[in-house]
Amino acid sequence: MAEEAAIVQQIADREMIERIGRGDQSAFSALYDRLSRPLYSLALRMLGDAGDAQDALQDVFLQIWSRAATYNPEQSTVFSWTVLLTRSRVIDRLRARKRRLRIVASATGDEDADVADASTMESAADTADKNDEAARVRSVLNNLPSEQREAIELAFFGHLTHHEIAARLGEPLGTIKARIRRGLLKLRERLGT
Amino acid sequence: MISEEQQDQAALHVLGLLSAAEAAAFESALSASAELRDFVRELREAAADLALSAPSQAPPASLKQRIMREITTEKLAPAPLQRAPFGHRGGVDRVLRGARS
Repeated sequence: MAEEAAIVQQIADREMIERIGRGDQSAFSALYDRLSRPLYSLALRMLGDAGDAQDALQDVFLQIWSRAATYNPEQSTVFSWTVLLTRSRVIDRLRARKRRLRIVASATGDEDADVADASTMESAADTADKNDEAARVRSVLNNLPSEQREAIELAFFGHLTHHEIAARLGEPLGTIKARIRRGLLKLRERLGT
Repeated sequence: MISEEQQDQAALHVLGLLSAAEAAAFESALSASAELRDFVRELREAAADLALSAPSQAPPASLKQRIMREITTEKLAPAPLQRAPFGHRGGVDRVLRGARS
C-alpha cells in the first residue's frame, strides 16, 4: 500500500512539474505546499540558520519555476530532483560562508579561527514530526551500523568529502568509501527505492 | 555485473563527492551501461530520502508569499521545453550532475 501511494504521489508530482513548465502558478503553489517543509528542513539542518535556509529555499523554488521544463523523469523522481537542487544551493551558501570566514581569519591573523561546519551546528528545528515516511527513513537510518550512518550523514548533511571524512575520523579512505557504499545500499534495500 | 569499485563511485556520485575529473570518467561509464544507470538511479532515490531524516520544520508563511510575488512580478519565465538541463557552472553544481546522468 505504501508503495502504491508513493507511485501515485510520484505521478501527481510529475503532472505538477509539467504544468509548472507551462507557467501554471497554481501548480507551482501546490508543489510548494507539498515540498517546502522537507526541503526547508534539509536546508535548515545543513545551514543551521533559519534566514539562510529561507533564502536557499527561495533560490530553489525560483529554480524549480524557471527550470521545470528541463526535469527528466527518467533520471529521478521530482522529490529527489528537488532535494538535489536544494543541496546544491545550500552547498553554494556553505562555500560562500567558508570563504568569508577564511577572509576574516586572514584579516585578524587568527589562523585557528573555526571554519563553519554545518554538520555540527545545532539545528533550531522542531523535532516533532508526524510524517510516516519521515519516521520510516529515520528508523532505517538509525538502524544502520553507527559508523555507516555517521559517514553518510557527514557526507549528505555536512557536505564533507570522503577525503575530509577520512581525515576527521582518522580512518583509511577506502574504509570510508566502503562505509558510504554499504550504508547507501542498505538504505536502498530497506527503503525499497 | 557492477563491480565493487563502480558501486563505490556510484555512491560518491549520488552524494556529489566525486571530483570533476572523477565525475566525468564516471559519467562516461554511465553512458555505456544501462545497468549502472539503473543502479545509480536507485541509489539517488535512497540518498534523497535522507532529507526526510532532518528534523521537520515548516518555513514561515511569509516565504511563500515572497516567492509567489517574485514569480509574478519579476516575470521569471519558465525555461522553454527541450532546453538543455542546466549549464556547466564548475564544481558548484556537482551534486546536480546526478540528476543529469
